Amino acid sequence: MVKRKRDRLSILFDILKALSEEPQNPTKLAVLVNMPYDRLKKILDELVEKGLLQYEEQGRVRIYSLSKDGCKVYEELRRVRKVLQDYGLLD
Amino acid sequence: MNVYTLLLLVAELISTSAFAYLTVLFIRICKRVRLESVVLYTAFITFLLLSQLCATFSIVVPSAKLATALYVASSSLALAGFIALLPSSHSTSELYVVLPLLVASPDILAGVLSSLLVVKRVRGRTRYFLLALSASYYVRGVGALLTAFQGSLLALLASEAVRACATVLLALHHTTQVLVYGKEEEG
Repeated sequence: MVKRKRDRLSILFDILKALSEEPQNPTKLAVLVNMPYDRLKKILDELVEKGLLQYEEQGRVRIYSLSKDGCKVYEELRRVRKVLQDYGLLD
Repeated sequence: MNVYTLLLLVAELISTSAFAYLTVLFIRICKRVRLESVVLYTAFITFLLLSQLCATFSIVVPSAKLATALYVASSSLALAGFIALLPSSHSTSELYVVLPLLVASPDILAGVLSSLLVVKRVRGRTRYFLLALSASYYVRGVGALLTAFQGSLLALLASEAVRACATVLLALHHTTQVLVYGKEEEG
């Protein structure tokens, strides 16, 4: 069976979930959410721009974590997760 | 108000409140996340809420004609909601044939109903303008089908232009009727 490509909402959910557990650098996060580093980096930039994530620089490495807004969105997405899954909008 | 109507109204109010809560929640998520799938689900739940409101009002309004209009609006709005969500599901391929027919059917129905209105009810110059609008709905329906099956956007763009022109003509006609009313009286 061919595995279906994850949609952006599922990717977002996975990123927020991973970061809600512990702040991460992009390399480890790429492993945790199972996606290429380059693609993840673009998404992280977008999420920082949207105010859902924040980062602090430790030397040359950025450590990403959820912002206050990001925490709220993650909580709300968790609440509506079952609804979205039932409609096939979230894995 | 009999017991049946009262129970129906209570049921409608419960679902309306639940849909309103979900709509507010999803609009909030939608504003923060701005992803297509969330936007589509928000549209879906909002249309269902509007549909519920129409259904609820259709029970309480005293006029039978208004109740019928609201009844039709409730199913039409629900239809819009379902259409919003269908292409976002993962089983889109099998919908390629059915979806255009579903999308085109409200246009064809609008065409038939407006034609009936023209034949049975409307008088004066309004008849021609409404006829143009009615024809535009048929064209739009055919345009949607042609677009889906031929893959060309031209038919859809042309039919949308025809509908927009017909709507402008009807809107301007009625506005002119309202605006010149006082002047006719003076003359």
